[in-house]
Amino acid sequence: MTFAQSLTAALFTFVFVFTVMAALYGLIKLFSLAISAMEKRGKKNDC
Amino acid sequence: MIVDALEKIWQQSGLGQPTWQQGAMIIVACVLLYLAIAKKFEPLLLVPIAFGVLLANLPGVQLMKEPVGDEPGGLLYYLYLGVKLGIYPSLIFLGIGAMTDFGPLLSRPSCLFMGAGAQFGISIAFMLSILFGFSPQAAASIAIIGGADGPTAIFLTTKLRPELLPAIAIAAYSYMALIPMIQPPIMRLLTTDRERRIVMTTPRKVSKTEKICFPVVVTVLCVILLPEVAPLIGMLMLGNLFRECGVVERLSSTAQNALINIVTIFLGLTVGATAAGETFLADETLLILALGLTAFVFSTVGGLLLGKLMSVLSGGKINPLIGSAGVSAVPMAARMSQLEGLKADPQNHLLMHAMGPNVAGVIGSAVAAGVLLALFGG
Repeated sequence: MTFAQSLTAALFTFVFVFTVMAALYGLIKLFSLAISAMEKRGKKNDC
Repeated sequence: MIVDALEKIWQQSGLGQPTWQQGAMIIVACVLLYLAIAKKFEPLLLVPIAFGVLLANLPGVQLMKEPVGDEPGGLLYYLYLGVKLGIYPSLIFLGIGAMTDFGPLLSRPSCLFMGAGAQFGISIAFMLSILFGFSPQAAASIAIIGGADGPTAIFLTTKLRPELLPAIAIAAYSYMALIPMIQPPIMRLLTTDRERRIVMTTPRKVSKTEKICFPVVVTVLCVILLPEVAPLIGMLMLGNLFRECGVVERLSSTAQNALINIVTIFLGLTVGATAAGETFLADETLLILALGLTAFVFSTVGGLLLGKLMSVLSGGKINPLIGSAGVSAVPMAARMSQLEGLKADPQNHLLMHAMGPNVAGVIGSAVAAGVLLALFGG
């Protein structure tokens, strides 16, 4: 494996980890918004 | 007759067949035992690993012997199958999941980026290993030491280059034990006094529903993207679901106590037993130890730099010291952030804030292992 290939593989690994974490970040944000909206609606219905 | 019997015992015993490598490894085992017992360096793992090293290097002992025909193999050969087949690392992840509270991460999801930044050392160590002439599979196995996660390192190495397992496992666990010596100088070097004094606000409260949904969401996303790491991520998140769902107390308790303890004994003992002097005492091992340390240092640097970036982006609301906790090693790395924060300001408690990047690092290193496995696996 040449140095250029190893650099590509290393960068790919780092960027891929970041992408997965970014996707998780988005999903967590989305879920927390959805859950808090559901909980608010539940409280309103209780009233 | 007595002379014959003594001769037979002499021949069967290991007394007549020691090699210098075995002698050296017995000394290594004693040093590891000393570090674990007297210095309390990761004792839960170093004690069984060191004892495994001792057992494997006593002359005449054939505990790792493979079965030949009708003759059964040694005890540790059978126990080692759990490592070889990737069973123990996955079961340890089940226990870790049951012990881990992802609440700090859920309350501040941006911590995920610090967990990703702290995988920087993996990339650096991979390139350096290639420069030093290692094969891509060996380089990936060495690089994963930078993920600071023992089970992940063992999982990846057994899949890519099993013969490097003893050196990589010993390096990974030794460096985790040495975090109090490795990280603080880097943390002080890369942060200013003003940054270390930043007091972070209390994170928002996370609802039970969020905590229950989290393991399911992570499993679906990560396993669909990287099916190769399903054993690690799947088990980690199953353990966490046991913990958070609140209806399987017994399973949660077993996973985080009895099961993880039993598996730790088998894992440590058998990993140690693979360190036979003839193969372990090579120049390659020293190089692996050096590259592993480099990986660890650069992972800390990556986490801290991400912490600094997020501190700037948040308008100075995030203390960059929590970035170094992104190197998995739960909870030791988070404790280092807490200690350095307290040194700068005795009222500045960062432990809970640092737990976010810390648990994000566990996911990050498993994802990195999955990428390396996809790139260089069979």
